[in-house]
Amino acid sequence: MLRVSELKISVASRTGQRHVLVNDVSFEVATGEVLAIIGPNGAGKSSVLRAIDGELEYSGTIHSLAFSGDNRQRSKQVAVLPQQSSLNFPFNVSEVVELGRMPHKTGKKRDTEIVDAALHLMDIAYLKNRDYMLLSGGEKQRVQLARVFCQIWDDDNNSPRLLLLDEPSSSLDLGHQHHLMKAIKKFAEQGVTIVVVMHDINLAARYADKMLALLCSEQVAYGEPKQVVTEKIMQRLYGLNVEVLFSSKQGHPVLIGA
Amino acid sequence: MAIPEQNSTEPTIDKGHRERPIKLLTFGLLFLVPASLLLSLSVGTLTIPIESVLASIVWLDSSHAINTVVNDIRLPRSILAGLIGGILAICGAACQGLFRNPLADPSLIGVTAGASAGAAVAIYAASNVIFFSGIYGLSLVSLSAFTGGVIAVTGVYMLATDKTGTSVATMLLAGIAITAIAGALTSFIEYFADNENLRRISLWRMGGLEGANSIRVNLAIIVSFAVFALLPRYSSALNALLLGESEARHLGISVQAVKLKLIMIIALGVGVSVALAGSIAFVGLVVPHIIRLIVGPNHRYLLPLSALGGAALLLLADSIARTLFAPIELPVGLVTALLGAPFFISLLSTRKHFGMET
Repeated sequence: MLRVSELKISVASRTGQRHVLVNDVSFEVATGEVLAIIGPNGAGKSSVLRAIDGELEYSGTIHSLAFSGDNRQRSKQVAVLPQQSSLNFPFNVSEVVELGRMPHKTGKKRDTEIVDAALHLMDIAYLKNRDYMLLSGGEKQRVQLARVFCQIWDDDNNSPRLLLLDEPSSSLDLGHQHHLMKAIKKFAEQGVTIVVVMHDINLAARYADKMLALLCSEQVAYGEPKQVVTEKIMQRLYGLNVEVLFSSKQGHPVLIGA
Repeated sequence: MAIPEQNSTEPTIDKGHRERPIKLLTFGLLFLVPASLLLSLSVGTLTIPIESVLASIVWLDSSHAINTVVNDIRLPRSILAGLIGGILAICGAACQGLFRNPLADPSLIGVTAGASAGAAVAIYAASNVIFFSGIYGLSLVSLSAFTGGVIAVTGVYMLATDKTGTSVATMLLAGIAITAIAGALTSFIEYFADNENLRRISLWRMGGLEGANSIRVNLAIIVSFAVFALLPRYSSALNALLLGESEARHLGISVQAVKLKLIMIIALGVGVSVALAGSIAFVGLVVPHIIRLIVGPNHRYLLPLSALGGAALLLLADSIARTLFAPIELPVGLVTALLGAPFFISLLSTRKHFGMET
């Protein structure tokens, strides 16, 4: 579970002016739910995520049981995928994924099992011994995702787990986008609380339990996908005339740019 | 966790193509280090056969002259060479990890230039203010070099640190700035130094191991013991840091504390080795790089293997320095630069982005 209320984030620029990045944002993600944060560039989506993971100072309250304990305990319960990776050294793929097991002391055998399972989950088992530096952007993203999944793979002693993903599907092909979202849903079903920043509205509407729309640091909509993905709100968010249809199979809203 | 794996394949304990090279390199270096130690004891102005070297090390029958050459003259120097080579290389490996830049060098944090300035000050002051010479003069130079190195690193660290933490990118730039200031100070002293001091300063800067004596060797043993014992404790932290600082934090690493401790250990190791042997170029850059090409960037293997590789390289370089124009000895820094620079150039030509993407 994650509860954020009246979150406000501001940073001082070089000249001393304060810029408001996020203003008065409140939402709640229940255990096992997936929340997707959407909005145009610079709306404050990543800032919300970085406040939750402790990288940015904020005012307001952010509450989750996963934050209990010291650094080490926290790193067993909270996993974060940043938007970009700066890994610049020739690790091979399984070595990168194995770094996700660093906070745990589960032993080499168990770690190897989990790494292998995560490699399969992200469909990169065939890349296992390849040099990370030589992979394509989408492959690198899948490797980083596998690393993050490894970090919260098990719940030791039913401890609460929180997964924060910043644009995890930005470099993925269509097949792997859905593959990833299904994996995320599986984690949610195991009791992981998940917040994911996304640009693909249709993908978010298809898989998220709740959506939060941000625009210019402010919260403009929050609720179930069908409450957020409306022609009016999308027009407001992106300045674009759109048509919203509903999937005949799943019933989720589908956006068509017009 | 019960995520269904599609076509669950056998969970192979497959370290793949890494395990063999790690083993081979470990055995190779464990052989190479003693071999180059013996070689360095054997060659020089007087070539002593290996069996006589072995004989005199273990105090077996051997002429008194050979005993003196091997045990009193060459052994301290060889031990110093091996330890300093090891310190420089392991600190180089840690530095490259800390800066997330495979082309970083321990001298980047200003320690070498600061130590050079400190040494220049001492050489100048020793001849002008107080008439220090011989053993006292030498240790005054070392002490002053170490102080200079520590002041420079402290300056770099403070410039790069604010309340949000230390920025390694700023540290690189601050290192350049402090290096320039220290360089200017050294030049200033050189300008006013007489010919003999000028020569001493410039010889000191080329790096050399000829000042090896038991005090220096003991100091090197203590410091290298500390460095070799402490740095490998940070191998997982360094591995995590390669992902990025926030990623390392999310993996439970106390990033700021780790950075500070690593910088202190590197400054101690490099500061002491520069103080004892002058600035020896390229060992800290080239050795970890070669090791990484073979075993990959995992610091668990990279750090100890770099130490062994650095020891072997400096022992061999010092042997070359003593024999190439025997009886004249070249400064060992000159030899490592001559060996290292072509390698560095070849790295530049194969690496387009210089590892400076962040």
